[in-house]
Amino acid sequence: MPPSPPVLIPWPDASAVAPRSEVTASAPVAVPERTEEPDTTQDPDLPWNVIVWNDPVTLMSYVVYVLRLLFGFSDAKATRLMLQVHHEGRAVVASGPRERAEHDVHRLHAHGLQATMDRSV
Amino acid sequence: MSGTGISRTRTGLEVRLEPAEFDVLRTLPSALVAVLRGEARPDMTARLYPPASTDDEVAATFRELVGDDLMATKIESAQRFAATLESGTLRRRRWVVELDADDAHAWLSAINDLRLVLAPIAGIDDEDAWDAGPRVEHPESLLLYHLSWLQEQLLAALTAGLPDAPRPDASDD
Repeated sequence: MPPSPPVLIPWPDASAVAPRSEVTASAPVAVPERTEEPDTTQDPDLPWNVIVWNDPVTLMSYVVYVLRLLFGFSDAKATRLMLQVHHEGRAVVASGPRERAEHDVHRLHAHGLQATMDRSV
Repeated sequence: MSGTGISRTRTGLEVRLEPAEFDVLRTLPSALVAVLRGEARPDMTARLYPPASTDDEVAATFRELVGDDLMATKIESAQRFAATLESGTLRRRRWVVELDADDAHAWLSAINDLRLVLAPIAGIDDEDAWDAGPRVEHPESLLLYHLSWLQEQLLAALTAGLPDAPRPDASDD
């Protein structure tokens, strides 16, 4: 992404943003008796990652603004993610169930960002 | 206030343009709508409507579900940009347009889509291409740089309106 005019921004720490998995309700302690084996052939319900990709046209300040607007991130976090996109080519900006990932990608596309949803593993 | 640019007012944003700037900007929305509809520059379609997943099946399902809606949203932004631009007034030799929050976001979206379409025409195909600066003999290049400046103005004004604290539902790790 091309840089904006020089703006003083807090330099982010080097740690990459790890995808956050959805907090799911924990199962009750007492497990009901089963007469049949659970189906293990179905895929586990893995979260979907929402990924923003770098492109040479979109302004850095635009990416920061859209991330703040859509996800409510602080300026620091949005900037950190934008710099990850800029330097590493991509960054995970959200993680969760499929429907929400679709919704997030839709909103990101509506703002002209290159975004994809992919399984976390 | 004699300069051009975008500033915040009590009710929204105020855009001040040179009359010549207005004359150029007002020609853009209809061209953009033609590209958004796929009626012009079909080579732009992939960037305006990128795949939603590296998984082809997921991408295809997404396109089926939201493709039409995405096109409609972008066209609506371009048309709102056009309508608000035309609704301005000439004040002390500046074309002045008043925008509310929704208008401002339509401008942001339309200007961004215009930049995406202009960039390859202006020879921007990678990050390094910006180093050379605008090519003065190339109208699309000058327009791209101008729209970049206008977008920065818009972002500065809009950002000032964002809350400092992250939303309660947003993590800040």
